[in-house]
Amino acid sequence: MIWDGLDPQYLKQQLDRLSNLNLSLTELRDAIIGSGQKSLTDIYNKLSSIGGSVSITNLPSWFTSSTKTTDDIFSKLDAIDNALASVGTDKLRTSIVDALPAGDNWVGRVKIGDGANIASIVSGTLGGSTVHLLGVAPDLTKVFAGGAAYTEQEVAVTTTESTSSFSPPLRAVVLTNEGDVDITIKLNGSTTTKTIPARTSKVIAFFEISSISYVVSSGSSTLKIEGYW
Amino acid sequence: MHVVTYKVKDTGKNADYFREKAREITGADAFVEVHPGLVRYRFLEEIGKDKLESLDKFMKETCDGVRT
Repeated sequence: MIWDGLDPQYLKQQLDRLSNLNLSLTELRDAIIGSGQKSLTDIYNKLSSIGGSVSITNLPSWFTSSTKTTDDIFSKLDAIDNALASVGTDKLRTSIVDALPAGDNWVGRVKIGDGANIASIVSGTLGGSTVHLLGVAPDLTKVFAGGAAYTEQEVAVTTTESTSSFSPPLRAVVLTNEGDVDITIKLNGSTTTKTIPARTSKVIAFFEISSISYVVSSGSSTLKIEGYW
Repeated sequence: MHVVTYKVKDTGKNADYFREKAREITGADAFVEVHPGLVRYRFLEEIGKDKLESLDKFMKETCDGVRT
């Protein structure tokens, strides 16, 4: 019989190593599952629930040295899942808009096109007249697109009342008295008069103006009319 | 935009009248302004020669208008 003697000191060293190894595995396990106790199965299920495919050419920026546990990864995957859901909604909206044919389109009774119908819905009654309550986009578009809706005219004003008329009515007007005599004006045939003192201007907006009558009590003056349709 | 201006004799007719007549003659809508001695059309599209001559004739007969 052969008896191999083992040094008790050697045995103790080996047991200590096993003990240390066990401790390391426990730490590794804890590190993997993290505080949220997420397992590899959780990760698999989460990945399976994300539709489509994700191509990763480089590790995402959030994957740093501080990303250590599966709990961290699960949290990020959850965020990606939510983000993808949002992207899906946006993409759906984009696809609908892209699919609309060129030209006028209707949303209910509102035509999205030249804006004419949008202009009509912001019309209202003010002081007994139908006016545009807002400086509607189509007007401004026309003005800035080439001045199609802008007019400028100087007229002589004498002691005999004269009238300028516009069709369609002006939506805004700047009246400038360029002379040294006050000018009296009336709008839309009204009997109500307004005075534009010499060398001053008067701006009238949000009120449709189809005619402007003007007169001076003595002498003469020049009235500059700048109007916007 | 096609701007057409006439020197006219005052007849008391307003911009609505000239706009409607221009629409009948040319088939095109326009912004119209009428001032003492002047009528100005701002057509939203180019007006052909024949239609413009018809408008000239109308303006001549109505208010002794002369295109400038």
